[in-house]
Amino acid sequence: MKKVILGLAFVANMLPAFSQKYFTKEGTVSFHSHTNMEKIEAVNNKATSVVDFATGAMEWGVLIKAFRFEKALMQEHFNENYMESSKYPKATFKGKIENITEVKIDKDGTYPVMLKGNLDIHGVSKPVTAKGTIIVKGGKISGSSKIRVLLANYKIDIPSLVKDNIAKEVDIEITADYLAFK
Amino acid sequence: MKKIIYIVIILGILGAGFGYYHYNRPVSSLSGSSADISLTPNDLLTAFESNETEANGKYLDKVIQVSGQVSKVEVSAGKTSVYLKTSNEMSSVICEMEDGFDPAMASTGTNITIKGKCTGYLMDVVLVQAVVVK
Repeated sequence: MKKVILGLAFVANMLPAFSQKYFTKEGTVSFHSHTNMEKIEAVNNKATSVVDFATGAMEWGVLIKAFRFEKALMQEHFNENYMESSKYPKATFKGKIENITEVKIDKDGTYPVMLKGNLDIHGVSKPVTAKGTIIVKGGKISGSSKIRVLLANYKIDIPSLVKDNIAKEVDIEITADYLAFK
Repeated sequence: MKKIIYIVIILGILGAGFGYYHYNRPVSSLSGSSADISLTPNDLLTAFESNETEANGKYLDKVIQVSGQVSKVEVSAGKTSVYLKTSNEMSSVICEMEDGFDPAMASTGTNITIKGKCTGYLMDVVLVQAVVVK
């Protein structure tokens, strides 16, 4: 009997190690393009992300058509001319947190992380690395990162007529409040 | 001759005014437009789960009206999202409501009819700029 209880206690101890998957469906992805001519900003609050804190595997997904712009015209141009969102409806990141062993999700703290993986935008997949932060506070886990993207790398053509209005490099910011996967 | 100059000036001003208005025009609300397609949250999700490419061709950018049970109401960063239940426990139809939506208008467990613009499928089907029909 004692053995069984000990055995159960052992298994119970092991469980957290198996269920370290966290996710969100309410992640935020935003980007800015600032030139002297024009300030362009867009936000998407419907990004999904899954992280396995046991292995460091991380995935992000975002629907291009769910980005919100202040001006309708910018939103239309973004979707129709630049991102061709009917042809390529989503952008994804698949990769991992390289230094996952340094992140202790059962201990409050701010953990700097290195992300490495493939960023898929506009039907073009490119390897990327980025710095990020995982914050653990009172059992809640959140994450953020910033990635600079060169539009030309993703075959996003800006017509020469408006090339002064749109930055060649765009900063993409991502944030997420993660929930435990049940 | 003077008359023609005046007309040209007035047309110029109108044109510039229209251009400026067009450039600054905000994203328009869906409340006035009627839905292109009406179906259940389950049928919408199943369409994307079984053939995403085909469903994208059929539903992207369309105003879709869905009636179903509210499984969750989520407020984050000032935006309200109403989750509609499907037979798949992991996936829903998520309706991101338009700005200014009162979260009290939707409560978990009740039935609701919502229309919104379809943006595609990740883990769920996402409708944006959504408004309550009833």
